[in-house]
Amino acid sequence: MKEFYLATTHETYLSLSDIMVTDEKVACTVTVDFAGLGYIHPSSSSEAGDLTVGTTLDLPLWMATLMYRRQYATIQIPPAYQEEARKILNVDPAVVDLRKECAGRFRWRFSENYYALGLYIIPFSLNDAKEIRRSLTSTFQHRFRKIMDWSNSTHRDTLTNLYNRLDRSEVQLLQMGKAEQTALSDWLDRRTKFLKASHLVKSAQSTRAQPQRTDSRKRARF
Amino acid sequence: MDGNDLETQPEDLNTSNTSETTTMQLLAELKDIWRNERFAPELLPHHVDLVDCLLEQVRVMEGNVGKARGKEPYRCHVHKMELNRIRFMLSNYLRCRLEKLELFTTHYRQLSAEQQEHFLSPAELTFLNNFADKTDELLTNSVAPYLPTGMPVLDAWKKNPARPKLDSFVFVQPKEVLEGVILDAGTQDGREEEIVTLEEGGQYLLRYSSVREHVMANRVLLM
Amino acid sequence: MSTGTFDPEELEFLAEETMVTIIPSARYPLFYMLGGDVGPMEPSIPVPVPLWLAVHMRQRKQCRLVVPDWLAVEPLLKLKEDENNSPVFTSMPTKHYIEISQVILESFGDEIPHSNDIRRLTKDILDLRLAKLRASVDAFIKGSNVYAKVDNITEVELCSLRNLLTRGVDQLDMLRSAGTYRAPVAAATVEDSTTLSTNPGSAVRSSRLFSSDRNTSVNS
Repeated sequence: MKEFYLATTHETYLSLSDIMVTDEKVACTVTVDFAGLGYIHPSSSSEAGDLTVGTTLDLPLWMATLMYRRQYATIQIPPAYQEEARKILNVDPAVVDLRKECAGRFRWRFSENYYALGLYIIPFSLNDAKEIRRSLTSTFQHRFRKIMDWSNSTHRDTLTNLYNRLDRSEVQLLQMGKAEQTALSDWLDRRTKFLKASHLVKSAQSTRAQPQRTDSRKRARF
Repeated sequence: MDGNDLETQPEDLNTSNTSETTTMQLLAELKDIWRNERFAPELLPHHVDLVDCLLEQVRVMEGNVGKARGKEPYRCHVHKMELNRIRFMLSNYLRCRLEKLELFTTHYRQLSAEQQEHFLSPAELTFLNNFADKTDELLTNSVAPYLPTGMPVLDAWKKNPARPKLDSFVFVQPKEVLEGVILDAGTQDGREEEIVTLEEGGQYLLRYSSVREHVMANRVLLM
Repeated sequence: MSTGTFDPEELEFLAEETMVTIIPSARYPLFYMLGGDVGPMEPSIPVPVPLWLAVHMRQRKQCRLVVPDWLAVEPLLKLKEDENNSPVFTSMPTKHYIEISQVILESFGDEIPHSNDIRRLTKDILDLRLAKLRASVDAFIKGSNVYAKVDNITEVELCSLRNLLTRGVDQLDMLRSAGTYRAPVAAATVEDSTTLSTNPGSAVRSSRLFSSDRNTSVNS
């Protein structure tokens, strides 16, 4: 029960994955004047150096939610969850590269934390919540089959390419599936009876062996 | 116990409940309990009596084996192999429980004393408290020296710690017919709950929360 | 060790408790084992012993195995054909057919005729069943099911994707219920509150593998 998958790390205080997700930037519109904070936003036009109402900033999610709760800002849904992106996903979820930059009207990008960020965003989207939820769910359902198939594959090349196209949570699932499959196939080949020296021990032995060789080479020069 | 060597049949074990159970039954029960504990997402009620009984049996047998070592090496060897197997099951079972305690420390610490007594054996409770205290100390001392003076280390997250996911799916094999099992579909899309009957010996894939009481009462086997 | 699942080796450990019949080549008295009495053993007289003991005795060349009926080429061919033709999982001779066959073929391989064929056949049957399992899991995920009847699946097959399936469904749950209010499941309560309702609901049963079609109700 290694607890490194999305369902347990979402909104967990001590989870590093969660910290990284809440670090993603979302666009927010300020609803209150902030005195003296104009320097944050380069195109701020106020003379007194204030952050005026209506400025749109990119803030990390953790700050954006705090601002939202205190009604200092409203959060805009990131382009990756808006209708255009959802349409693209709907066509064929399984082939979409979730980490690539996409050139659309807004130049958006899905992120490697697509699902996790979506979970955070949904409560803020008043009109589209149901649609976004449906889109996230159906994307995941269709990609799951591919993940299952890939976890069976033994082709090394495919996998390294894959990791660059999958969301972080999908990579974790893939690794879990792969671990189970390799455990089964190792057992079927009866490879599991042999105890192997741990990597730590082996690398310690090899570093101990090397200094002697370099010493002898040095001595030989004189 | 007057079975002092391996050649005489040991007495049947009398538990403190004065219900006679043989070691074979204890072992079968241990296997079921071990499997349930491995697959359940949460800690199951403790069976410290069963564990202690079996450990006692194992120790007595090991004593007998030790005494008979010189005389019948092969017999000792065979007995030792079986004892190793039983020890493996017991220690794996206990380690599995400890692993769950380590994962969900704060959650189990927050249970009432009555619940803690039901789920944790006394030794596990001591372990839990020690582990929790030491972890807290570590977390506080890693951060406190670097904070500006007067700023407390926040503990608010402990109000909402990681809890075992009780609605994860498990594979279930009922040992008897179970009626009225509620499939909790939650409030998704406004679907109502559904009630099914599970047949004995069939195999099902369900949410753990639907069969939770049955698991604790050992009426189903998780697989 | 991984809580939440069993490794194949641990399943093999469990399967080794099955009783098999051997023909010992030496004489041994009755062993009073904690797991049940074994013996007494006389040469050339078949006696049931646990599988782990049989393997051990074989390593010391002290016994021969009476191979179980189902572990031969013809029965396996029939099993494979049944498995191929049936859309659901067929019932296997024992719940631990793959573990037992692995252990027996490894330790007693030279005694068994056509051991390579047997090995190949069991692997084929396993592959067939795994493919069925994967297809069913896919259907389960795509549907909106909370219940499935999965008779006749063995544990080794399950442990090839148990983690993937359960964690994937956990994530699916999370995605489905994002933003909606979900009544929290009561965590770890002692009181055995009987929530068993007395209303006879429609028994949703399905003879298909992993699907539970919520709109059909079987006449009970």
